[in-house]
Amino acid sequence: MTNIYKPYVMAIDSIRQETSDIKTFRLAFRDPAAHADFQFKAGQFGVFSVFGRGEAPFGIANSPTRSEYIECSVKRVGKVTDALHELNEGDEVGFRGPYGRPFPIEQMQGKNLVFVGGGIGMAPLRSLLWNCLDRRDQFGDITVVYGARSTADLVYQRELQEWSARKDVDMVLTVDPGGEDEQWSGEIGFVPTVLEKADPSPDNAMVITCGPPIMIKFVLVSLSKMGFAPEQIITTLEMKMKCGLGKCGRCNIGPAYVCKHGPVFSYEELMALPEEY
Amino acid sequence: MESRILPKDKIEQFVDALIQDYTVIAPRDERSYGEIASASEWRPDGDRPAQSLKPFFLPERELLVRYAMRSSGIELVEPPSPHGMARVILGAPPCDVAALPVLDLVFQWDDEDSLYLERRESTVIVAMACDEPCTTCFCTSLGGSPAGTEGADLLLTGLDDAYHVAVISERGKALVERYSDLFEESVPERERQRAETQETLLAKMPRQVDIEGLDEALDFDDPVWETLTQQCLDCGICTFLCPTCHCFDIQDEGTPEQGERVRLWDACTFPGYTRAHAGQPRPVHYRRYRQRIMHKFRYYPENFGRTLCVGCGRCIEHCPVNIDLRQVLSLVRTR
Repeated sequence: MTNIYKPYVMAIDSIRQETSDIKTFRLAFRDPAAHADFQFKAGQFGVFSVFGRGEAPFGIANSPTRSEYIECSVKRVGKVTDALHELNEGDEVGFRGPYGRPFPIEQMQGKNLVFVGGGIGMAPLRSLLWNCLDRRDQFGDITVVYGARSTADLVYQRELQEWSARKDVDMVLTVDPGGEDEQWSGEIGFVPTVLEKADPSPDNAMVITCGPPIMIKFVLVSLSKMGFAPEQIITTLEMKMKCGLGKCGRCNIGPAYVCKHGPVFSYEELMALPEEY
Repeated sequence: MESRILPKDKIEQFVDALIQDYTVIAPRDERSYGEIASASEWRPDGDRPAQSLKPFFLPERELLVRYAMRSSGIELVEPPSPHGMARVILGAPPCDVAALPVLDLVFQWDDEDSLYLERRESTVIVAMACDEPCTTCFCTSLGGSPAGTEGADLLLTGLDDAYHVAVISERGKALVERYSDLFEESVPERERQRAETQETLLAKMPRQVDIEGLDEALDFDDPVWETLTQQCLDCGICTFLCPTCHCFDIQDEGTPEQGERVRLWDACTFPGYTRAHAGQPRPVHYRRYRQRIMHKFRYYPENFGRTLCVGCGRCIEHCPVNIDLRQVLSLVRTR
């Protein structure tokens, strides 16, 4: 039997400063054989670690169609994320994964997709979005509504421009009122409001949303008003996790282990769980 | 069921023979099980230890991987496999033994936890039927028995001048065959004595918790939870002594240059257990206690088909503020 807690050793290939407190790390497998065997799907996560400081779970932010590296975007909020932010290119970290249930991409085929993201919640959406764009002919219209507190808090700025420039993506960017600057040409307003204004049709569509809990809460209200049914709405949950493997017990929400039954859930599934997340 | 008889005057010989060939773990004192070095250290008639068998399969602190920064990069060294350590657990009561197959369900779930499972595979379990029920235990309410065989390889039952030895598994059979000169064939009279002993004991164990339909009766939204256990100190003793509680933390010990990644016991009764940057879903005591009860009697059955409790009663026996799980369960279901 193999030791499921032994991580892969990964070298930091590059670090991109996304915002004042978010960095994206691009990691390369030190062992080429491990890389050759490694497969993941959009929506899955990994447990990343800085040796001596500990482990923390993050969504995998790159697409399985672009899997030369593993990328994760990390907001500096605590012990492990502080330690990650202190690292430099060439430093080594640990990685276990991929874990969890991915986005139901097969179920999304042939449908119009609406991505609704807030802040660093764009990370798992980015994985899925690139995945869909790399198989573009298999999906209908793609609309992206993404917002952050201010222009300086938008992640993946270069990609946001690239997606905005594409004719096959309907890109709506917004910042909270007061978060705009002089150059800002996008929307000004909270994500749910801007989503309602963009008004994508619920017909033959699925919504994938990820962001701060307060945003999700109001996005769900908006989607319901717009006529989206709970089973058309997909989100990902964050809970404190340790093992990522359904052993340590800590990510339970009712009978669901977020690390195994999630982190991707439909709104229909969430409604069956106790409100304890 | 196959069975043997081990005369009481041969028990020391049996234990010493086991010690020659295995690491033997037995109730050593009132606090815990431990390795014994001779038959005289075993207390076959003593009370059940305060701590269950859990630490022998899921230690309080366990090395997962050792790391060291070398000039060539991070070096990871795995702990030696617990495989092949050849242990015998001797004289554990059926509740402690029955807890192990319950834990197996989660540690075998999809990704096999090699550290736990290899310990399980390399340990033979010689259980011993209780001779007197504790005042706090309620195993029969949960489908167990003071003479239960779940999880055991052999089950000893004390008769007047001998132990009846029920052979439960192939591994148990191999053990009695290995020391076959110490065992006698059982005879109908011995079987009758064993049955009588068990019946006497079972008669002393009234059903104390009505488990039938309990999972459905447990209601997350019932306001009863809010005031049910306000005296609780959130000390976590119930979880640490519980043979089926298995929640753990993973931490690094050491410096960036070298150290150990370890697994440590943790408990859902602590606020820090679910506290994250994103929020704290269980900020007050009653939500944490509700999670503990719901996990054991509703969520675990839903995921794994059985309760995460064997009715050993340690949580009742050792609670510093006298919270009685039996009362809690009857209160939440009679509403």
